[in-house]
Amino acid sequence: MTSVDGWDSIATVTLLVLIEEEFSIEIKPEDLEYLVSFELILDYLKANSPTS
Amino acid sequence: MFPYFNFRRRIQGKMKLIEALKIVQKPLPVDAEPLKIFLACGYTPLHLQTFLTAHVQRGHPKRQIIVQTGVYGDLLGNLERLVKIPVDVGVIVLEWSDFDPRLGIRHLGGWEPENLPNILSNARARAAQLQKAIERISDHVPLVICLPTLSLPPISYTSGWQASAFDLQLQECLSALAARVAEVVNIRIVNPKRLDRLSPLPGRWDVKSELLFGFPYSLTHASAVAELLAGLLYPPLPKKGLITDLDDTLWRGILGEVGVQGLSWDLEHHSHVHGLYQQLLRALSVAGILIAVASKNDPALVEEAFKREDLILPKERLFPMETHWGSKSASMSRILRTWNIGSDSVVFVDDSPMELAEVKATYPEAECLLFPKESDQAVYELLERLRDLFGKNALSEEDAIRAESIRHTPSLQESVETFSSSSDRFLEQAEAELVVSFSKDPLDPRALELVNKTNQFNLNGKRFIEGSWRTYLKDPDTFLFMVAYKDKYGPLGKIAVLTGRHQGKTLLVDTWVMSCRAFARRIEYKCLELLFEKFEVEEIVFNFQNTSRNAPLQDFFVEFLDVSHEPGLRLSKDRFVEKCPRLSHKVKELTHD
Repeated sequence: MTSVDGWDSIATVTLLVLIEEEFSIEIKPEDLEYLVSFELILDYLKANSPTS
Repeated sequence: MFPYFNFRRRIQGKMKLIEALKIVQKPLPVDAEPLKIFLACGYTPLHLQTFLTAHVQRGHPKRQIIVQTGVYGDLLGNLERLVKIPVDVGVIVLEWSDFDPRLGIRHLGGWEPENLPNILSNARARAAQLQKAIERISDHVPLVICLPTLSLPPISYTSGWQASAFDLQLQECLSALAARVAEVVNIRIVNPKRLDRLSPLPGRWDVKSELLFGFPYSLTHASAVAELLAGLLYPPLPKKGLITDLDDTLWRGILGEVGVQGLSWDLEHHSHVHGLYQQLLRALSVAGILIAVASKNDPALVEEAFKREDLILPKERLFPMETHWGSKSASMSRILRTWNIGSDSVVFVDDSPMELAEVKATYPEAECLLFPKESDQAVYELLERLRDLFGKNALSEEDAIRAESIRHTPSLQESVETFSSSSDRFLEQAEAELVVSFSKDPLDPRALELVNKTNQFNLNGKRFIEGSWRTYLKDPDTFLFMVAYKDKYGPLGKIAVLTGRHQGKTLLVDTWVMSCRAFARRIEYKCLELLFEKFEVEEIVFNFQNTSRNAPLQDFFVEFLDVSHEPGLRLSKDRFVEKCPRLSHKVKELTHD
């Protein structure tokens, strides 16, 4: 996410909360720091979404 | 269920964060006028800022909504910033931790019983500081305030089902603060009871979000808070008139079947909700709402029924009365003509879905509501809905005299007909008097009310939010001209507003509205004459815009002054003097020295 211009901590929080809302999951606080790229988020969703 | 019987509040349904972001990120025209809001709170505004922007944007799709925020954890500092930054409106969202950090969960300052008196004392001191700051800010900018929405943490030593003295004293401190600032003209407070319906208490607090990010609200709660804030920032225009049926609506019973004495609206006859309905209509009438009757009935019988002294809503509060066997849409047409308002400003209440449909077919913009006579609960919800539709921020002197002045319109019309050979003679005998004012300080709230609710005699249909209105008038080059009118038929109150700028020998008029109640009295001519005299200008340039509703003003320019109604139309003093009819108004200018 450091490669995206203008990306900041608020954008990160917004994205993660959006993912929680859209996929009806709760991301554990200790997992947050690892979700720093599209691929890592996709892997996390595959592993943790209710339909997985 | 009947389609027009819709008791859902003006609530669009919970907005999701993704929807809010889509609204916020939607491209706007490059020349979109900015609407600046400052959001002051003690926590990270995060999603509340997004939802607030989205809810306001949804109501103002052509404006560029800018919601600025302050510094995390510094509510008082943010209030200071609010004074210094030029914005249209300020939004203050309080939480308990703003009164003492130990009333939140991000600080570990101690919840021991011996700390409670100190917390209470801090909270009282902070409430006094907040009150002072809020009152000071409201001198500069309109404010919308949301009181703490989260429950208190388990700080008191009592169990959760017992209200402790500590909890109640904190509530008392908050209520006192809210009651004091609610009296300030420029401040509106979110109704906590309405928030309770939209966002149930158990779903409000997102502890994880508060601990991780400093944002304490769940997404649904943030959306609900933002929606209510947006609704208070830019409330819908209140309706102006209510047209009611009689049988099984204003009272229980069919007059033609049960007779006058068979009608009821009391507990004894299980018809008390009709009494409540009458009580609300009476209160609305006193607050300046026009109330009329449209009933398929025998007029003589109705006359008899209104002689009953136990009626809560007496006949004197109802005008006009359309009681006959003709269609209700025809009744509504006559009522609207008498009131001289549009169908989008009225509510029609009837117990018959068929009658509602018949009126709705003719007047699709009218709010047609079923009187649900079979359900006391549904009637109560109807009363709440009516209060929402007619709710006002404040009552004015004009509210008290509106119905009376319309009631006198027929006698004025009769006089016009009597003197039809000479309008001059009629107006001379009317003993017309204008009371005019050019004062901008103190700013009369009636001016903005008139500008925002007048459709027909309106120069360009432009509406203002309170902050923009104040900002515009703060400019020393602008003037505000207000006109009150009375004649021997009664007072009309403050009925006309003009604003503009004086540039050498030219006067630029930006806003010109006049209440439809004041038509046919040549007040519009007198206004222009007074402006030519006051500012000693050679011409007036009008910021005119054609709207779908301002035909009376278009006619005024074309028919009487013989000038085309185009943007930037000019009226020279010579042309005005040449075309102006004889004016016989007395004029008194108010000064505020």
